[in-house]
Amino acid sequence: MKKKVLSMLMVAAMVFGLTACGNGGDSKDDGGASDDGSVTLRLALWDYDVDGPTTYDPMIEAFEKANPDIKIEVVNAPSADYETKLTTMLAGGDDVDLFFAKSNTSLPGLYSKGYCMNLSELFDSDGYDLTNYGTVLEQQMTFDGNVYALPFRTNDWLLFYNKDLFDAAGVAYPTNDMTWQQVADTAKQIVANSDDGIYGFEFQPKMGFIFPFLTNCSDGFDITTSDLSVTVPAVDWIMDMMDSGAMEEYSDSKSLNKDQTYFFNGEWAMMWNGSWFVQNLNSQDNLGFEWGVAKSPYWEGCEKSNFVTSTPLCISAATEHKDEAYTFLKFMCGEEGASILATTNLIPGYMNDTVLQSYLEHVELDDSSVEALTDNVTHDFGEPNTIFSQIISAGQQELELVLTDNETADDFVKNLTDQREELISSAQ
Amino acid sequence: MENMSMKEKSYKHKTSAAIVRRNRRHAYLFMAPNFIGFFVFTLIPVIMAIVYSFTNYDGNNTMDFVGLKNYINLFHDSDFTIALTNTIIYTIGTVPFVIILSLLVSVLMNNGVKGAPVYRAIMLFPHIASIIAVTVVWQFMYAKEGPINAMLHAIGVENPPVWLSNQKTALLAVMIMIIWKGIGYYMIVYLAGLKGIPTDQYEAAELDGANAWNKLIHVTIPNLRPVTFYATVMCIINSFQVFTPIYVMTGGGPGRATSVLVMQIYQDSFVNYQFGYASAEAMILFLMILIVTLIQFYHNKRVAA
Repeated sequence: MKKKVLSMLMVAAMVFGLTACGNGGDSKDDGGASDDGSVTLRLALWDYDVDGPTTYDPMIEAFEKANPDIKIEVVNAPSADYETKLTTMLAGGDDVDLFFAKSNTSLPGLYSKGYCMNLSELFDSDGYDLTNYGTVLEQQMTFDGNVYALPFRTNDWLLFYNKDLFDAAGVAYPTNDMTWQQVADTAKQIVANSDDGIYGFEFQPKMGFIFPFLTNCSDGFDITTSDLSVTVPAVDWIMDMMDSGAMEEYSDSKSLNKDQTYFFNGEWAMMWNGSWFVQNLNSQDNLGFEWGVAKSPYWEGCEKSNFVTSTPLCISAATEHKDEAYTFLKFMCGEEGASILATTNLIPGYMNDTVLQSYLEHVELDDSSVEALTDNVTHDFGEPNTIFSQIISAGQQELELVLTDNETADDFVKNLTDQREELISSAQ
Repeated sequence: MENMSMKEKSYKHKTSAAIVRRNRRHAYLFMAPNFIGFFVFTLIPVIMAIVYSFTNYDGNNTMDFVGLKNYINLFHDSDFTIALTNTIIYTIGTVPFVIILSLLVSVLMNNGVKGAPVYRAIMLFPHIASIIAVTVVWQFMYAKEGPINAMLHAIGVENPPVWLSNQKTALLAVMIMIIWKGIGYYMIVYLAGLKGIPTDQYEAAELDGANAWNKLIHVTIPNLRPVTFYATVMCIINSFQVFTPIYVMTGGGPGRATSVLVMQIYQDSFVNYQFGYASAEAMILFLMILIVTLIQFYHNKRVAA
C-alpha cells in the first residue's frame, strides 16, 4: 500500500514537473508589466529581420525615448507566413497588443472576427484629429461607422520603368497619363526592339493587388455583389500580353517564384507595383540602371483612376494595455512617426505638407516621377464581410486557371460567380 | 509435510503476485511521461476538435453550437468535394503502384542481382531525402523546358504538357513523384518479409518443376500476404494525409486541381479562420482513416487467431 502511495506521488511529481516546465516560460510575463513599473507592448509585424534596422527601429527607438515607461517587443514572421502566424496567435490567445494587417484587403477579415479594437471611442475621448489621413480612413479602415485601424503607410500603385531599357529600345518613357492599351503597345514595342529575355511589362497577378485593374471602368465595384463580367477585357489584356511575349508566361514566372525583386535584374522594362518598391530600389547599391515612376495607367474611355492601398495598424481587442497601445498607435501613425517614416522612402498614412516635403526630399526622384506620386486617390472593394477574403482567394484560383491556359476569361467570370454564390449561401 | 508445501505454495504465489503488482507499477511509471504527453497533446485536442466540429468557432467570437450544419454544408461545398475527390484519386493512383513496384524491386534485390546493395541504397535514397528538397527538385524537372519535357521531346512528343500548371496533369505529376519517393521504404519492408520465407518452400517448388514466375506467384506472394496488408494500409493512411509535397509543389493549384483534404483543412482553419468547419473536415478524414485502421485491426486479429 505504501508503495502504491509512493508511486502515485511520483506520478504526481512528474505531472507537476511537466506542467511546471510548461509554465516556466510564461511566469516572467505577468501581463507585460515589469518590476520597474514599465509596460511592454507586443507588436506583430513581418520581415522585421529585413526592414527592422531601416524602417521600424528608428521609430521604436524614438517612441521609447519619448515614453520611457513603455517598451516595445517585436513579434516577427516572414512576409509569406505572417497572416497565418497572426491568425494563430490571435486565435490562440497570445497577448499581442498591436498588429499590422498585411494590407487593407485583409483588414475586413480581421475586423469581422473581432480582433481589432474599435478606435472611434478612443478618438472621441481625446479629440484626436483624423483629417490628415485623407480618404483611406473612410474607405479602408471604417466599418459600420467606426474606425478600427489607422493607416501606417499608403501604397500608391505606380508604373516603375527601367530607363536604360527604354533608351536602348528607342522608346519614349511612360507618362503620367497612360491607358492600359498604350502600356500594351509600349511593352510590345520594347520587346520588338530589345534582345531576347527582355519583357515589356510585369506585375504580380494577385487578385487583391490588381482588382482595380480588373474591374475596368466600373465605378463603385463591390466584389461581393457586382457583376464580374466587367473583368473580361482586363483578363483578355493579360492573355494578349503573354501571347505576344510582352509579358512572361505566368506558369514560367510562377515556377521560378519570380517576384518584384526580378526588376533588379534589369530584364523588365515596366512593372506595375506599389510605392513601397521605391524603398527597395533606393536601397540597392549597384542597380546598374536608371529608373523612374509614372502614374498608374487607366482604361480608355473611363474617368482617369489611380489606385492606393494601405497598411493598417490595429490595436488588439484583447489587449490589457489599451492606453499604452493607443499612445503607441498615435505615435506610429501620427505626425511624429510619419516624419520618421517619410525619411525611409515609404509613404506614411498620415500626410501633411511637412511630411510630404520630407518624403520627396529623401526619395530623390525626377520631377515627372514626383508628380506620379502625388494626388492619387483610393479605391475600395465594396462592403467588408466575413467571406470577403475567401472570395478574393477563390478569384485568385480561378484567375490562375486562366493565366495557365486552362480556362478562358468567360470561364473565369462564370466559375467565380458560382463560387461566390456558394460562399455567400454557406455563410448564411 | 503436506501442510508445509501448501503453505509454501501460497506464500510463493503471494510473492509472485506482489512482484507482478510492483512490476506493473513500475511499468505505469515508465509509461507515464508518454501517456501524459499523449493525453495533453493528442487526446484532449482530438476531443476538442470533435466538439468544435459542431460549432461555428472562429477563434475569437463566441462559439455557438450549430448541430450538424458543418457536416451538411461540407457536401455542398465544392472546395471540400473537390479536395475529397482529389484525395481519393491520389490514393487509388499511388498506393497500388507503390506496393507492386516495391514488391518487384525487393524480389529482384533478394534474388542476388549483382550490386544489390548499391541499388538498394539508390532506391532508398528518395525515402531518406527531405521531402521539401525532393519536391523542389521535381518542380524543376517538371518545368516547361525542364529535363522531363526535354526527354519527351527527344522521343518525339510534339507538345509535352506544362506539367504543374496544367489542370489535367498537375495531380498526376505529384503522384508520379510520390510513387518514386515511396518505393524505397516499402522495399525495405518487403525485404524484411522476404527474409522470413522458409527456403524449403522454394526447394519444394523447384522439385515440382516451378519456374521463377511460378515461385513468385505461388510461394513468395502468398507468404508475404501479412506484409502486403500492413504496407497497403500504411500507404493508404499516408496518402489520405498527404500535404507537404502538394503545399510545396503546387499549393493546391492550378485552381483547385491538386487541392487535397489536409490542404483544405489547413486553408479553412488557418487562412479562413473557420476552425469549427475545418474540424468537421478533419473528422471526415479521421473517419476515413479509422475505417482503414479497423480493417487492419480485424484482419490482424483473424490472422493471429
